[in-house]
Amino acid sequence: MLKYFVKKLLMTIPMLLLLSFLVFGALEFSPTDPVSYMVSPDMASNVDMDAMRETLGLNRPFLVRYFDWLGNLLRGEFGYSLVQGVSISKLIGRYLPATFQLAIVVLALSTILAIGLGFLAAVKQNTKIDYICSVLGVVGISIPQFFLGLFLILVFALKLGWLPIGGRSASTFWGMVRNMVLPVMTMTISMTAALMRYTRNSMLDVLNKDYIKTARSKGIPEWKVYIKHAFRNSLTPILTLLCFRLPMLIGGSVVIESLFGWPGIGNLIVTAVSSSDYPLILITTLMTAAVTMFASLLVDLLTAILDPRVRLS
Amino acid sequence: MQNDNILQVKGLRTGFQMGKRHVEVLRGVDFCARRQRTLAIVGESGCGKSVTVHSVLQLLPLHGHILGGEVYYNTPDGNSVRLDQLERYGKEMRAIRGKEIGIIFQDPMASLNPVYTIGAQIMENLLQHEQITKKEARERAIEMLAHLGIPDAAARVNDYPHQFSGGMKQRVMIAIAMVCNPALLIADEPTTALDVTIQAQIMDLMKRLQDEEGKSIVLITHNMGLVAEMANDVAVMYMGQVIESGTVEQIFENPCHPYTRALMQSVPVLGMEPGKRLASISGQTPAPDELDEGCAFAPRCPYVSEQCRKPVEDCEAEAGHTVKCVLKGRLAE
Amino acid sequence: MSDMANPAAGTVKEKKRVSQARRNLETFLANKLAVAGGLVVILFVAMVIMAPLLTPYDPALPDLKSISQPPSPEHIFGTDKIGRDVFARVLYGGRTSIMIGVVSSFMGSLIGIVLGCIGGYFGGKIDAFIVRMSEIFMTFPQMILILILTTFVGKSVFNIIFIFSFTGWMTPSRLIRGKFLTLREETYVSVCRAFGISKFSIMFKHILPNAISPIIVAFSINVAGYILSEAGLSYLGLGVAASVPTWGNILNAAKSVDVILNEWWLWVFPGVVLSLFVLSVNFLGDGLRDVYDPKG
Repeated sequence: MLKYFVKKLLMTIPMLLLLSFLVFGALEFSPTDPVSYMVSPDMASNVDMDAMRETLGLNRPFLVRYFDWLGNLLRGEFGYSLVQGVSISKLIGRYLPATFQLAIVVLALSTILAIGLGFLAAVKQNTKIDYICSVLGVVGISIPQFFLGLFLILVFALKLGWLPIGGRSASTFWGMVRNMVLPVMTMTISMTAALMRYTRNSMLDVLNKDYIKTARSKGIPEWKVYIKHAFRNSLTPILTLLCFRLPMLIGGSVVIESLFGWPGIGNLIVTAVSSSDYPLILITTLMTAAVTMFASLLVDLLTAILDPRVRLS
Repeated sequence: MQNDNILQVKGLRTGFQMGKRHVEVLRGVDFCARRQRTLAIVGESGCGKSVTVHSVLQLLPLHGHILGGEVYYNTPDGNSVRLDQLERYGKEMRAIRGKEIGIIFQDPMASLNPVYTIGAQIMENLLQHEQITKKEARERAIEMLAHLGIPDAAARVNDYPHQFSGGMKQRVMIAIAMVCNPALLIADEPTTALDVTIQAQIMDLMKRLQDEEGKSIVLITHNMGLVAEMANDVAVMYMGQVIESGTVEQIFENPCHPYTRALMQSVPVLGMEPGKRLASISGQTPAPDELDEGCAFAPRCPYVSEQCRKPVEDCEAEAGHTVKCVLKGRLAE
Repeated sequence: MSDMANPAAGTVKEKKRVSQARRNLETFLANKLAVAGGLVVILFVAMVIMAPLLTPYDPALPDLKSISQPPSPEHIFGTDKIGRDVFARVLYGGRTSIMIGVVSSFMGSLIGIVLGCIGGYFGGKIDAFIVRMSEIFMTFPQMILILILTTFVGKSVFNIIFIFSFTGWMTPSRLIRGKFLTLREETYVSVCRAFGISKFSIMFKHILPNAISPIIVAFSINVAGYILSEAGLSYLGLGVAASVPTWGNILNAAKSVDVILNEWWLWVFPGVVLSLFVLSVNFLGDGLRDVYDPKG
């Protein structure tokens, strides 16, 4: 078990190194003066650029500078945003909590909903319920998230006036909840739609297995067959799929955060891209990649806990 | 009064919904399984052997349905239960499954749930049907495993299926089926997926269960060698019907249906004349939806006549030996 | 169990081949939503191709005399802030949006097929490398990758297609690889090898045609996905340059409360058209899945 986990962890490291190398390469090729990226702007105006270049070691070979930069990253020194003139670590520290807040709520809600509906559709296979679920699922993945969001804004914020149009107020708990309803709803609908079908199919897959027949041959009640035998076994593929859906969640947050004016990383990325703030774009990218990789590592760990075949080998 | 037949199947018809079409796979199956004897149901793959026992226990897949016929299970204390009338996963049917009738499936590798210990899987059956504590159930499970020849049962009960070999898994399956001491054991090709040496071990084990404990067994197989070794009675199936049934001696010494005869000749026998070619049955099995009301074997039968196009009734070739053929067993040599 | 799953096993084989195409068609026609989806797709594609016949307006020409007009008989979808006809823009925008979806999906599938063939046929280290790469690409947020690439290569239809193809080869590649792994063990492949047919020819001429069917499903699903991605990007103003009408660019108008509430025709019509088209493509893909991949 430990060996399995360590092996997975060790496999993540070269992937992260490769990514960081690509990001560093991209930074090199981007029309950015490294000095302005590495030094706080208030300082940069007062010093001689060439001398600075020398002291920062920018004249050294590419690889040396790469490892230098990597070392800085590991110490949490991400450099400076070109446009906003603030250190990137500060920006990320400011925007990340909002993104996590949104992502965790959406992930929790959509997982519960998707598993519930997918389970129901599989149990009631080929009935009206199954049919409705599958049609709604396709509808859910076909409507663009931002269009759905616009529609919800029109109805709940502008026409009915029940909820705020956007923003994030952290002052009161209720204020925060009110702000979260619409973005969460928009993202949850798309995520649920995308996950539901997989849940249904992996449940059906398991229900066709011989060991389900064995369970039934013992005369245990159907609900036990479904929960104890079928659902328990379909959890592993569902988890894996959930992991593959994480990027979609992050990608979705880019559009949704920008639509609802939610001050998260997604919004930060959009601002950075529209103002060609290369260092900020690349560092946030690297961060998101790292986060997804660790999430998939977590999924591997959970899989191992759930599946004795992995756990004991 | 105790009925001598533990299981009676009359005119059983089962169909599968394939998209819009409905394919009838069993077209009126009749047989009786007698108490404390082993009945072997034999036939080529696809003839409906598995579907028959799955229909009996109502373990058919969702798109499979019993369309007609009667299935009677006679309990040891003299009650007769009509299984085909019970609700598929209802209480009455469930009280019979596992408790009265145990079943073993073809592929032991796929038949055990990979995420639970084998102990838990055996205990599940016990806890469902008997009012006992977990501790007692665990002891019974260990006892059963030891009885079925699993070494170090007390420790292995905590292992997961993937830690067992194929033969051992099949023993575990038998333990699951046997742990509630059912009156009838159905074995659906229990050794097809196993190595030859393991096959022999499993069969010895089953024979022991029958000889020593007087179990009634329904064995499904396409292996005529196994039939000769294990069975007391035989029912031969072809295209969803039992076309001949009788005791093992009757079937082997006096096969009356042209199909049974062809089946016998296609099996290699130890001590067979060297150089003699095995007979094969000419033609292919027709698709189930292409059959008409006549004898299903007619297109391949060397003795075919005009009479065979009409529905064929069962008739007795000798006492206890039934054959579904217009020739009534009087085949020209 | 095999008896149970396929009671028709042992059916006459020659007969099967003749009726396979017919059966496929029957399966597809049985899925009413897929048929409806297919018809809508055909209708929409025909409409955007024949755009000049359906509307007298130029989608790019401002008309300052009719600014922000609600729907009327002259302008059935209304006009935008500089007086352009929204219906004309939706029609012409559809050309670009659909083209981006189809071409990207085609190119992505092509890359995926080639990589999948190579990995699946040769196996070993090459295969492991390709699988690894596809895993990296799959766990990485595509949206963000696209955003970075747009900053480097700039905003244009060609760049968007390039980026989409570059980030969308994984599913086709995995599908083809999976098929190849089983097909390369088939007897006919060893026969080809024994005849000394070149590897290239075995891969692309002899195995590929038998492995292509799941790609058809992935292709249609990807078309839908790309049209959505383009819309999302252009809505943010990061996709195709604003001067080119695409469904996403038209929807880009809906960025202020005023437009959302008072000039609803600027976003509701294009949004509904976009959703309807994507929905139809997805239903069509579902129908194809029934035919080619009954298990999925």
